[in-house]
Amino acid sequence: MTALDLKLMRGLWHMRGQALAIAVVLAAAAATFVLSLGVHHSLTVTRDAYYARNHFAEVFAEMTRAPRSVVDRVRAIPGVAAAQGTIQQYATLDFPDRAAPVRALINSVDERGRDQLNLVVLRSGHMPRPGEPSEVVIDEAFAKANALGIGSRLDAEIYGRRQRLSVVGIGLAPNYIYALAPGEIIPDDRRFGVLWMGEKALEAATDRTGAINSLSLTLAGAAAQAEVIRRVDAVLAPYGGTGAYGRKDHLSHAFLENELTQLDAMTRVIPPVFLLVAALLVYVVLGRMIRTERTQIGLLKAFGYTDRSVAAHYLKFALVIAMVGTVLGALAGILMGRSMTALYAQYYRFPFLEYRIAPEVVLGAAGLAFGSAALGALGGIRSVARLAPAVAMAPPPPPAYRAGFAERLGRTAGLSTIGHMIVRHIARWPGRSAVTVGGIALSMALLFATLQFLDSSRTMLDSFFFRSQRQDLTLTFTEPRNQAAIHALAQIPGVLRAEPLRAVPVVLRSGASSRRTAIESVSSGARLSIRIDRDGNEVAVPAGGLMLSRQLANKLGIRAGEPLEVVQLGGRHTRMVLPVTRIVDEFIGERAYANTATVMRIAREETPAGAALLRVDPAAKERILRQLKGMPVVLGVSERDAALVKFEAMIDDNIYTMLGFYIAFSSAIAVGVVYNSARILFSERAHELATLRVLGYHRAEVGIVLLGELALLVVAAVPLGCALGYWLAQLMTSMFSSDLFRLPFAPARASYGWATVVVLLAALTTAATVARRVLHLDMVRVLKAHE
Amino acid sequence: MTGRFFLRWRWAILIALLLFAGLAFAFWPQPSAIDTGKVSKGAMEIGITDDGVTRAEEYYIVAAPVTGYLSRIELESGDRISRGTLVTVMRGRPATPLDPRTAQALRAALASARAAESSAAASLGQATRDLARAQALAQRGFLPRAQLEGAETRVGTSRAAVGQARAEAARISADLEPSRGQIGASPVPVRAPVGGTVLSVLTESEGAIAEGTPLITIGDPRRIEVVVDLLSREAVRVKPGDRVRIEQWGGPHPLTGTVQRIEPFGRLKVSALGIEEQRVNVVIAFDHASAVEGQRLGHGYQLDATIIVLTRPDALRVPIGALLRGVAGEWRVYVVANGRALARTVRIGQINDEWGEVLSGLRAGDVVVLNPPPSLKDNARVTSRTS
Repeated sequence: MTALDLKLMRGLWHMRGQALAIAVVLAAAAATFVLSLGVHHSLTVTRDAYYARNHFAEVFAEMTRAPRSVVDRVRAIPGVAAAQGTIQQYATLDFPDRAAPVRALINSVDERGRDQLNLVVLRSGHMPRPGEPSEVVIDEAFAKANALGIGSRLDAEIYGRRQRLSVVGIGLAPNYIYALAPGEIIPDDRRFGVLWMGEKALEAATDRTGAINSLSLTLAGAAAQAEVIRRVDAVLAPYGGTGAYGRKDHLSHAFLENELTQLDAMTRVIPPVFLLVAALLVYVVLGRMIRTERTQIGLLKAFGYTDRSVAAHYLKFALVIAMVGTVLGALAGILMGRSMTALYAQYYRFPFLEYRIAPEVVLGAAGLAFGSAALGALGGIRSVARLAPAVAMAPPPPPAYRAGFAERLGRTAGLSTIGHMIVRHIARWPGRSAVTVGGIALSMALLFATLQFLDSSRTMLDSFFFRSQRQDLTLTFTEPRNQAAIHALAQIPGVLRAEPLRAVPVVLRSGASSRRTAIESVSSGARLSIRIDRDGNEVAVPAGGLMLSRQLANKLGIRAGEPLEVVQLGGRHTRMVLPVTRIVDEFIGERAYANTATVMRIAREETPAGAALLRVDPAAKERILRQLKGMPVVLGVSERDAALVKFEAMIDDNIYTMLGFYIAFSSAIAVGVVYNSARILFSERAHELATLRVLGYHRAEVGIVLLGELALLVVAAVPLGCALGYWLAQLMTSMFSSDLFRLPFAPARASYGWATVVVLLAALTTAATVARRVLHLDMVRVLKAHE
Repeated sequence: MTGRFFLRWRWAILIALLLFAGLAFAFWPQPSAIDTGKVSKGAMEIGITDDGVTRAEEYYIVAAPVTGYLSRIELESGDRISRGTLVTVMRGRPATPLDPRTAQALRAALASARAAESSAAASLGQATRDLARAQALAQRGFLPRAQLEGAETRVGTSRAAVGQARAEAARISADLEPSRGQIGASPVPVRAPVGGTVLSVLTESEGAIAEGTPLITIGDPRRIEVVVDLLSREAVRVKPGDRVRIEQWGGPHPLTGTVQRIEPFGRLKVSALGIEEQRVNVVIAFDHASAVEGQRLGHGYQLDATIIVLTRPDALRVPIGALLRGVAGEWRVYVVANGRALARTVRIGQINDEWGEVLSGLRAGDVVVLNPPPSLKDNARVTSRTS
């Protein structure tokens, strides 16, 4: 071990507090990076592995009823690798002790195990056997939520007939990673489950002997999906086909994809900002720290060490810190990422979870950490190394303390001597002061910018999402009903108001671009559901034509006033050209609206009630739910309050946990920066402070000279931090916005407060340790210059 | 001492105060934005809405008076007719063509009838001759009167037998006549029993029909009424004379009417929600003013009728969106006062799909929180989005 390495160890030990603080800043940044990229990467890898292992189909189609022979015709289409026809049937399950109906989606599976696509993963039990029509496999989440197990019995009403089913297996499938009941906003495992039943049994139960109503297929190699879809549509058109669609329109896949996109947006925005801010802070702080080593650098050079070896020494010093930071960060990131991934996985029905970190993620984080540390160290050394050893060894010459602006200001303000000293020191070292203030402000800005994401999502939920839903109950009908159903609902005692809701699936086409979506009907007197634009205003649906959300209009490349071709999917396959009369800026999704009359004109029928929104007397809710459960045309009922609670829980679990990590990390950065700034300030002024003591100042007075300056700088950093934070938050919010998902920029005042409080707390605790040092200042040792 | 302290530390204190002021500003509870509504005085109606159909008040079905052959009805639905207008005429049906076996049988029967005729003619000849002899003998007084009368009777009987046999032969030969589809003569006229408009022509084309087959319906479309079948428990709330608002009938403005009668007989019906329930017909008459606009309605047109069972011309009303239930099941609202939402227990009377009638607890002009978020607490600071 060379002398320099020994010195390195001692130096590190001597400055362990500061070194650790810098390492923490780097660790926090690295951890955010590793954490978020890791979670996103792992979920994507898990999904892809699941899809591949269980042969998740690539194109899907539903139809009213088609003979099974249609599968062979589809299989013969060039580009189709495998095709499989199944029956999908909604059913209601009767749980006598529950008020609300429980829905199930029953899928057919081949009893002899000849299925090729969307294979079921069995957790326990076995698949339905031939000749056992009552055997079903139920999905795992539904089984858990309802305490069902193998051997449980279920009373189901399938296709208008009551049937007793027995559970013989528990499983899950890649086409139901996210299982959402129609009309719901959030999966509710207690009220909706997926069942798999033998093909023959389901055929018999639904009067579909030798027929199917759903088709899925995979593509061969480089087959063009659009062309295959076109051909599949042609084959299925006579059978009431509702238009084939690819994975991006598949409910489960689309939801998962959406979540991953949001996660990806978060990943792409927050961690890089963290890393950049941290790198900047480390560069500044480390540079200053090394500049305080001035006398020692001089001494080393006097001993004959070359500039190069001195630089290498301090570089090593920086790299050790960077290494500690990266290792800590990577470890923390991996640990948190693992638990975070597991948390996400609760909401998605994955049979396994592969937690994976791409090595380049860790390398990238390490690279940035090392780079910033090295640059900081070199920057610090450069200015010092230029000095002749003799000059460097002497304490830095004090700046000329002439009567300048600061003194005049001090005199006018009538400052005390100590006050004078503080103000003068700040004014004489404007660069250092600015760096301290800037560093603290930047770390505070980062903290604020992450905190405001909470406000942003809170606003999103409260002002837009929750506010637009004013019904107590939403019930879905087995098939669209006419107005009489709404009248009948309104006459149930305790129902205060009933409104119909209908969404007609269509393809919107403008020029070459087309989108599959559903046009939602809005009646003129509707009160229970409103649409809110980005400014928080209620938007009325125009009397004629279509209203599109901005995202959808942009995708279609259409402006208000232009005509749009509307083709109904399923039903009568009507085709008409409607004008786009209004475009509305919404926060979520691509949606299309029209008034009820227009929607009915597209559907060519008078069935405005695909679902009904009810406002009920809360005291009668339980009874109404029981009454609704007995109605054969009612497929399912969801309660708004319960759904919103679940929705919030999901947001809490996913988004807030992630943000929580980010906030913790940015707090750590803020604390690290404040601590280091204070320590450096102390190091820089230790010589002067000791001199003051020699001159006869009390310890307390000397303490105030230092702490006063620190306090002043921190306080000055607060408004700057708020301003910087506002700007950074705006930048991050706009970076965050994607086609699918946008966030309102709505920072709460309290977030400024919390960011300030964290910085002040960090400053206070730091001040306490610094004050301790000042009080025990060893005058002789300091004035002597150590080593 | 304290004075000197403050003097010495005034700048530090000032800065600290500024900082605290800033923090206080940041953490000062901020009002949450809510939607508000107003408690107001105004008319409030409790109505029962259901779909109904129109029908002509007086409704006649003209049916075929006899079984026979109907001539084509030339009337079109919508034609005005007066009492006694000839709707159509009915004639006898053309005969059914003979199948070979029946024809064979008939031919045999004809031969047999002809033979019977010959036999009867022979008998008549014999009887005539016997009578001539008897008369000659009687003239000479050799025959008792009774014998003569007997001979006369035999001649009469035989003649009748000949006539019968001939007629039988004629009948059978008529049966044998090939059917050429001619319609019988002597038509039966069918006349309109009442003046009015032809609502529908049920049997338009000519052809054979059975007695009692409905031919046309006659009514006066200017005199139509509405029938709504209500759930029996709803019908109980309705009484004759109740006001009715008729919407969704196709016209731009709602029509008005009054309840005429509630039928005392309920029927089982499967509702739009798929459950069996008892329904009762409620008959509604159009108001005079609406009758003109309602001209465009015919018989059997669909519409939505709202029967107003209760009207409060000057009720104190609160929007239903503001109503909540408290823990004890009482109605509660949040009243906005001085920028705070205050929970208040209210008594609510009638409720319709828009308003709740306030019996106590609120005053007109009070601002209430609409659709309060679950997070809203009593005495929380709020600010209205609308203002």
